[in-house]
Formats: sequence, structure tokens, C-alpha cells
Amino acid sequence: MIVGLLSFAVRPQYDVYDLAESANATKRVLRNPENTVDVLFAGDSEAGYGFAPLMYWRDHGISAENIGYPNERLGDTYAMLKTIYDKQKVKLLVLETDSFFADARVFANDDAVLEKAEELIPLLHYHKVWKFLKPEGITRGEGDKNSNKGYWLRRGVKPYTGRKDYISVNSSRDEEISAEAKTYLSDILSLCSENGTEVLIVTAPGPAYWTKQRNTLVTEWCRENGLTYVDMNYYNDEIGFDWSKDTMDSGAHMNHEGCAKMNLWFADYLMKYYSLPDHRGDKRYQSWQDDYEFLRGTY
Amino acid sequence: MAYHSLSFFALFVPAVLIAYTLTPVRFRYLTLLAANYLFFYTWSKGILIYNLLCVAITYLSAQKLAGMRKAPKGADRKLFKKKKKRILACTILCNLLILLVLKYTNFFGETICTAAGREWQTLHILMPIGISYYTLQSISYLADTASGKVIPDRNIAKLALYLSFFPILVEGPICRYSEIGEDLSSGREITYHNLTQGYQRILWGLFKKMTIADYLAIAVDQIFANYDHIGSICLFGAVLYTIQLYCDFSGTIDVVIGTAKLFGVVLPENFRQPFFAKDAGDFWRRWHMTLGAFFRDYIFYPVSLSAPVMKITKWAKTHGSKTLARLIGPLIALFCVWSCNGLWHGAAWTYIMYGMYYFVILAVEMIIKEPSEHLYDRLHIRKDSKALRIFRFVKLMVIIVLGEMLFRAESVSQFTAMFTNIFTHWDGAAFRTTYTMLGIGRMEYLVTAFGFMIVIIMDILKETGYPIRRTVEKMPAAVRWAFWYTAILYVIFFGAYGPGFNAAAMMYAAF
Repeated sequence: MIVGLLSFAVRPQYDVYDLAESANATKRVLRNPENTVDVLFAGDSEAGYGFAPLMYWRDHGISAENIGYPNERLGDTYAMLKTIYDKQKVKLLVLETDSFFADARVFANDDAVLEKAEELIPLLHYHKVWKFLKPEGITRGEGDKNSNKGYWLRRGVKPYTGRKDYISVNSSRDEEISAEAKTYLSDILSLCSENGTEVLIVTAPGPAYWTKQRNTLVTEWCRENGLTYVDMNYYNDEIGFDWSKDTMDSGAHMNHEGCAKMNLWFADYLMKYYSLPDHRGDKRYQSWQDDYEFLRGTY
Repeated sequence: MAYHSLSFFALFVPAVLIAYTLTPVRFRYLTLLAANYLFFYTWSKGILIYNLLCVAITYLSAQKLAGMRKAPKGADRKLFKKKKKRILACTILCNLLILLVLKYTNFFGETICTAAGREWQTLHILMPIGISYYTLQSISYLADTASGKVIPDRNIAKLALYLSFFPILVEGPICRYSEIGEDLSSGREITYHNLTQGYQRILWGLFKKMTIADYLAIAVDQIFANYDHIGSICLFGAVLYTIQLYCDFSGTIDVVIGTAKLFGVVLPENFRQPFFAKDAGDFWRRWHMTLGAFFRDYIFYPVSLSAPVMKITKWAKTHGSKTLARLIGPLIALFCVWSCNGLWHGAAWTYIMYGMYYFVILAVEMIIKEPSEHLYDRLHIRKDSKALRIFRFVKLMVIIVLGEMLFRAESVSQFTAMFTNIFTHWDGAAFRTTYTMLGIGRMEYLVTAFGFMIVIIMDILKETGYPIRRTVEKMPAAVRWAFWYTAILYVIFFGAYGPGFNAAAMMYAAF
């Protein structure tokens, strides 16, 4: 009975995979004044480690937040958007594609017994509720995602040693966007449409997980849904990547130096194709300026 | 199926308990045996055949050795003894060979080829879980059979049960047949007392593993993966790893001992408050005790008392000094023990260096023991003085933490770099900005610190002989139930499992 009561108490309004991270990201976005967040970056670690909102602020005054984090499920993205829309009229959602190919189920677990147990006893799934008793980011610094508007800054180099022409290789891996993933994606698109948010689908550069099949599947899905898709793996040269230096884990994720190159290029892309106002000088957007000033040396 | 997984303690173990209870007493050992191999299969699939091979070899040899307890009338006793020793040695070698081939082929191949300036083609060899543990158990079984300590059962299933008992298969403890053989095969009743004590011990183990070790594992992995650009944070990493290793290994052993207790099998303890040791030698009598006891009984003593070493000792007495004669035998035996200890832990130079690290430290302790005592007497320093105890504690912690840094490092060069970084890139201020960038936040650090404080308090109570269990049992029922429910809810709430965590593997399962 105690476990049942506690399960009821800790279960959030919308079921998510990672309660702590999704709650932290949502809280951080909602701390901004109403209707000040123009751009949201979302997705799993490819988004979390890839998009640095303060770079967009520095160069173009774009007010962006990054709600991506490792292992973020599409269900988490949907749940966060539902809450964020209470207070923010986001103009553009940039959704990274790696999470399309992960298990979209919020209760999924490698341990099948634990997975079933979590569905029956939500307390086992949401037990990390204590994590946000004290807000994260009290220790301000370049490594603190909350100081970076959600960007998980990581330094360090572990070179990618695979083929430089990886985009021309047909991988033998079987890829699919699962039915659950498509359902969540459809829900996200509906939600964005209701709230007047444009959606841009992107694949961050990363040779470790990229496959041609993924690109094909996403391209098809975007065509079916009338969405723009930018696969940045095809722009490695333009971006100026050096996979011997710009990755922290052999091509799975960019490091901060790689991100800087990618975000510079992507910011130009956004300015070219989207109307995103320059909010520099506007006191309502002071938190972006404050965060940028605090981490000026990093950017 | 890890010991700290829900599948194990909430599904597999209860299912085995039910099957065991429903089985007639005389066949219960077969139920356990079936459970053992089912568990083995979940880890190693078909390569459990190596365990079966070890069982077969050990059984045949033990039966032969049992028949050779006394030399037949008229036989040459010396020759008979030699024959017995040869059979024993050959069987041990056979079992060791399986272990050596599966575990060390790539290591030795690469080492020899590198020395010869050639390239070694890595072989993909699948190693069955627990091979390092059950091989040592088979050696102890054979040695004890040869010495008459154990009378081997004609029933091969009982030997198989001993060499594959599922709670001890993955991380030990390394048990003697005389310690658990009877318990295993007698089909003891499941009692309320054993169930409660067993699950309480399991809960304590889960507390240590899941609320302390598994969080620290995240930070430790980050530090050791990025050691080349985090400077003196390396020291923090070594300290965290020491705590992680203790809580992970001892926590898993608690789960193991608790699980065995459910079936009425009493396993030997593997840890005895190791951080309360007086010196490195004492530390190794408190840490991984069953491994230490194995090496003591089956390597240290036999080597010390072997003919060649006795000859060397005699030579030292004649040509050297009394001190040399007193020390040389034990030092040679110690070298053998720590070479084996290092290699047993893994096929890598870091483990061999780890073994040599402790050989040197223990050798130095052995050599300076008497002179130190004379020095304390001369300087009128009481051996139980507070200052001396603090000095010894600090010295021991430095030895342990550095040793664990070597143990965890991927290579000797990484250890050297990390050790150097502590002194050449010391930056205390960096710690404040770095420690929350290691994959765990302030709340997790608080949880692990609180948990480790509980572990230390428990260790203090055990070291002072405080009857913890009896104290809890004497509590009023309502208080007792509240205590246990709180403990269970604590592990549920604060355990490192579920979303955001990759289950941190049991650390000693790789050995």
C-alpha cells in the first residue's frame, strides 16, 4: 500500500523515461520570462552535446534553449513540450534524429523484469524524484548544463579512426523508425502545429552512428510529413570538421571545439531560412546575456 | 543476470526457493544443481562446457587420489607419495591450463610477439563466467583430497554442485569443500530465520552496491577516461574508485552470502572491516579474505616448506645471517603468492604490477618489522599511541588508494601519468568546478557520502564487536518493521538503476 501511494505521488502528469533530466530541462526553460524562448533544440545526447544556445545568442541574438539529454526518448520530448507550451510560444523546434532510432517506450529497460515491474509499480521508474529537490546548476561553470542553456559542454579528444568517406558507405545494420517512435513524432508534430511552432529535423554530425539507411528513412518520413531535413553529415567539409580532433568519443559525439564549428554553420543556416529576431539589448532576454557574460571565455 | 538485478533476487531466487522446497529432501541438491546450470547458462550459454570439463577432470582425479590415501602393503612409500603428487600436479595443471588458455592466450601472445617485434592477431576467445573462481575451488578440492582433509563423494553431482553453486559462481567467495559441501548437498529446510537473515543481508549488499558503488562508477569512469586533461582530479578518482571497489565487491558478496543463507548454506566472510587494518599485511587479511586464505594455504605454505626453499634457507643461515635465513623463505613464497595474485586478477600488465606493488610493500613491512619495534622502544613510542595509529592509518590509505589507481588504470603508462598529474598539475580550485561534470550531480554525491558514512559506522560497530543483528532483533516489532521498510524504500528511491543508468557490472565478475 505504501509503495502504491508513493507511486501515485511521484508519477508525473505525462509519463517520461528520465524524470530527473526532463524535469530539470523543463524547469530551466520555464524560468525564462514568458514567451521569450524562440528556439528549442531537442533530442538525445546528439542534441544535448551538440547544440550550444549561447553561441546563437552571441552571434545573432537568438534566444534558444537545449532540452536534449542522453537517452532522451521521444516521449520525454513530447512531455516536455506539453509543459513548456504553458508558458512559451516557441517559434522553432530543432529535433535531432538519433532518438528516432532508439526505443521510444518510456518504460523500456534492458532488464525485462525491471521493465515490467516499472509499469506495474511506477515508483521504480520515477524513484529519482529526489534529484530535483535541490536544483541542479548551483555550481555555475562551463561544465554545468544549466549555465549553458542546456548544452552539455564536454572537452577532450578521442579521435574517430574510421573511414573519412563514411557517408558513402552502406552499413549492414538494420534500421527502422519504430511504430511507437512514429506515434510520438506524430504527437509532437500535432502539438507544434497547434502552437504555431515550425519544426526542423536535423542529424548532427557523428560518423559512429550514422548510416545511409537512417538518412533514407528520415528523408522519407520528412517527405511524408512535409518537413525540412538537414543531415549535417553531408556538410562535413563546409563545416570544417576534423574528426581526429573534433570528437570526444571516437565519432559518437562532438566535443566543444567540434560543436563550435557546427553551431557556427548551423546558425547561418537558421538565419538564412528562418525569421528569428535579434533580442540583444532587450532586458526581457537578460538571462541569455548574463549566461553569456558569465561564460564569455568559453564562447 | 546480475546479482543486484530484479530478475535475480525477485524472480530467479524465489523460483529456485519454491522448486527447492517442493523437491523431496534427498533430491534437493539436484534442484540446486539444475538452478546452478540454468544461472550459468544465462551468463555463458554453451561455454559452460568448460565447467563440466573441470568437474569431470576433478572428479576422476579425486576418486583416484581418495583411493591412494594409504600406500598398499609392501609398496615403496616414497614412490607412492611421488605418484600421488604427480597425479595431483597433473590434474591441477589440466584445470589451470583451461584457465590459462581461455584467459591468458592473448596476453601472453601479445607480450611475446611485441618482444619479438611482431604483431599478434587477437583471438576472440569466449571465457565462461566464474572460471577463475571455480578453478581455484577445484584446486583446493584436489589438494584437500590428497591430504585427506576431504573425502570425495562418489556422486559426481555433488562435486558439480560445489563447483557451480550459483551465488558464488560469479564473484566468490572462494569456498573450501569442507566449508560448504555438507550444507549444499544435505537439502536443508528453508526456515523463516534463514529467509529473514538472508534477505536482510541481500538488502545490505544492495544498499552498498546500488546507492554508493554504482553512482561512483559513473564519476570514476569519466575521470579514468579523461585522465590526461584533468590534472590532480586523478587523486579524487583514485579515492572514489577505492570506495567504489569496496562497496561494489563487499556489497555483492553480501548479496551472495545472503542468497546462500536462504538455502541454509553458510558461506565464509570475504571482508572484515579492511580500512581498520594496521598495515598492508593486515589489510590483506581483511580484504578478499578467501582469496588470501587460498594463496596462503595452497601457495605460501607449500612454497615456504618446499625442499628448494628449505635448501635456500639453510644456505642463508650458513652463508648469510639469522635475519636473512628467517626472511628469505617467506619472501620467496610471498613473491610467488603476489605473482599469482596479480595474474589471477587479469591478463594485463597493470594487474601484474599490482601484484608486485603489494609484494614490495609487504616485503618491506616484513623486513622492517623488527627494526621498527626496536626503534619505537628506543624512542619510547607506545605502539598503541594515537599519533602512531594516525600515522599508520594515513600511510595505509595512501598505499591502498595508489594501489587501486594502478588496479583501475587501463595501462601502466596511464597509472604513471595519473600519478604524476597529482603532483605536477595540482589545482585544488579546479575540483570545485569539475566534480559536478563527472556524470553525477551534487545530490548523488550527497547520497553516496551518506551511504558510505553508514558503511563506516557499521564497520566501526563490527570492529568493536557490537551485536548489530541482536540489537535490531530486540527492537519492538513495529520499530523493527519500520526499520526494514525504510531500508527497502531507501534502496528503491536512491538506488542507481533504471532510466539514465547503464547497470554497472559487478566488478569482480570479470576475474
